Amino acid sequence: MKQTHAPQPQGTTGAATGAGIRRFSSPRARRSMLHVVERLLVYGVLTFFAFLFLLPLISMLDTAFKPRALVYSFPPTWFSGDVTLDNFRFGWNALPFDRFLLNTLFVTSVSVCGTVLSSSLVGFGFARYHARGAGLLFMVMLATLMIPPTTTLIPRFVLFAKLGWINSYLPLLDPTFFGMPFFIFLFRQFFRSIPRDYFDAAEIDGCSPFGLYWRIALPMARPALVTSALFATIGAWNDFLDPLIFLSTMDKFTLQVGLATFNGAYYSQLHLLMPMALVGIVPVLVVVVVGQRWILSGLMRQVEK
Amino acid sequence: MNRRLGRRDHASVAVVLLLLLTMLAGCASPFGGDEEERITLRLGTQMTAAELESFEQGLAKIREEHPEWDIQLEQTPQEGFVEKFNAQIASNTLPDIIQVGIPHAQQGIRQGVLLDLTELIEDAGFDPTDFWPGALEGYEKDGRLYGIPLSASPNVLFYNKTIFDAENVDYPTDDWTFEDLRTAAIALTHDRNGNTPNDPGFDPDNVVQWGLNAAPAHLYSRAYFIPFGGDPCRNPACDEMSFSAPEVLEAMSWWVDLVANNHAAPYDPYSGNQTGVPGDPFVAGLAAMGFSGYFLVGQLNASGTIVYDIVQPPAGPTGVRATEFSVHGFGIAKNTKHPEAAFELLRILTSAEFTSEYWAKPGHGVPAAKSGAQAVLNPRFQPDNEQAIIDAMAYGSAFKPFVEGALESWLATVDIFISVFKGETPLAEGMAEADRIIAETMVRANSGP
Repeated sequence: MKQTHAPQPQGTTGAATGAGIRRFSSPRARRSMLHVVERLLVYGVLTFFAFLFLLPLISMLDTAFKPRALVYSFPPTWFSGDVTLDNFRFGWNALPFDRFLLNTLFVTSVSVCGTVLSSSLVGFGFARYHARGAGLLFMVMLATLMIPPTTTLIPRFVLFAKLGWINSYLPLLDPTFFGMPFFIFLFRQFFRSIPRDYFDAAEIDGCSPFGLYWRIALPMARPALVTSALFATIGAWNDFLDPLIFLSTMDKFTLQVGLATFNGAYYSQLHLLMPMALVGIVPVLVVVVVGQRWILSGLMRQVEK
Repeated sequence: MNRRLGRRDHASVAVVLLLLLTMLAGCASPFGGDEEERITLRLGTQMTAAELESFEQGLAKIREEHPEWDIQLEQTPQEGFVEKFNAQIASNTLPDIIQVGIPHAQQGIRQGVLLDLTELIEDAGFDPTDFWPGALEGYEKDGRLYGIPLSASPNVLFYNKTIFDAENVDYPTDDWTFEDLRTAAIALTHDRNGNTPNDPGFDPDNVVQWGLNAAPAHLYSRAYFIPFGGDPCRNPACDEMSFSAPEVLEAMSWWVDLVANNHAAPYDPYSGNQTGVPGDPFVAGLAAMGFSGYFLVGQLNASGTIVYDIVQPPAGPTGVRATEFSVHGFGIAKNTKHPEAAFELLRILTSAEFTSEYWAKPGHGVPAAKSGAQAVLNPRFQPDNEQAIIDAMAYGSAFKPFVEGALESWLATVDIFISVFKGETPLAEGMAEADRIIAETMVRANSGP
């Protein structure tokens, strides 16, 4: 089709209508211009919100490397250029952070294994096997997501105290081996997306129900596994309330409980809290950055389903 | 058709079992005593990292001197203490000795989970009169003692020397009256045009420097009224309060005048509504003076940005002074298996020797044992006039009320107080409403199951 120029607006003739004006007055040019403006607006808004969300992290970084006097100065100074590692040194030595990190690593590793294994097994059951009342059971299981964890805190404490499990990691780890509702839901949805033919073929070849789960379902559910593992890692690493309640001695503390020790009723030792919080988020940040591709593909599978 | 599990299946099951065993191995409970002859004492604390550092040094010495005790330190961060304390009460697993502030000590007494120490004190020949009476009263009920205070932190008047110098105003002294305080507060308050409240054209909506950061805009403000002869507590237990009694209204009117008419103090000192900074504007250098506890010394010295000193709270028209303090102490769980050993450890932890050596650091708190309080006099640190803190301990009292329903009453009435100080509600009307709510809340809280 032949390219045509848009008609010149009335009253604009000759030299008054330059090439530039003609260019922007054509419908295609206007659309292109609008597109550019739209993109600029979208990116502008996204950048603004990205900055807003990053602000606490930036503030943490700034505070962690600032000399102690500047941490508490008013008005606050941002990136004064005065950089020190003293806060890291003092913070690390103020409390046994090496122990806290190891404890957190242990709790996180075991609870992630427990969560992923048990939730995938239960999710597989809900996805592949039909029994009377299974739907109701699934609904009840989902409904437990609505119960705020704080309401069950004291009953759980009483229960675990009677079992003699207080100040051990059992109250933190044991429940993860019995399936977590959110992850069960995630796995059930994922397993339902796997064509039934795979399982039928395996059954014909003599595969047991556990074999179906272990040999067929799990290897195909890698995105869901990684997504669940990442969410479980973030949850376990950042958990504060349960370790606070169930652990009592410093040698058992996790990172989050240790960090809270820098907060007093009347004032916080921000110059120590921020560098140690920074140390604490690095491992989980690495895990998230490495695994974000899997999170996205895992979640997209759920959305597509 | 089912198939027998293969080698890989077995290996997988073995891995899962191994994980479980590893987990169990790391979860050995510390409560089982290894050596039967040693007495295991669980010591629950709620300290900051800085407090723990010195406290643990002292604890190490006690462990050395008492090898017969296996002292297990159970530390809870302060921001999670309430949840832990309630869970431990519900499950009957309170530590043998537990660090509690007055509100939680009183909760423990009401719920019957703290041991009555009266007989143990008498048997041990322990002298409670060596403790500041204001700190001790928070651990008493009906003449019985349920805990011993470790430290207290009285409110005194902090002042920013730099601001006083810049405004050419004389520093406060221990002889100040509240009228001296008002005069200085007005002279030190500035709007953004540099006008003081005495100048024509002063803009109260744009104050950039406050003379005083204080206003008794809530229930826990007895010390602000007592110097004027108006105590809102109607009895020693303070389970009845009246803010609409004539003498309390008169006392309060002095403060309303300072805030709403002189504009020399903000109506809600810590909200940041008027000052633009969260927390204490004195710390931010936006207020020339402020009432605060000894804990502020630690914070100010850590930042090192404010040159300051302290004086005692000013005297009222008849020379009466008052201050309140937050207190920390130790109680013993009623279900302890070793009451005598627990009491002996408690006695050591609260003794003048222990607290003066391991507790009287800048900002931790003043030892509640009188004979240990001098340890806070440390010429190496600001403030110079630390004696003001010790002097204030003598007439200080615990924050009251600490009866059931007090915190609820505080929450339910705080908006009324602020409304009065903002000048939106007439004083008498607001306080009558506050009294009605307080009475209702306290009755409801105390008539529950």
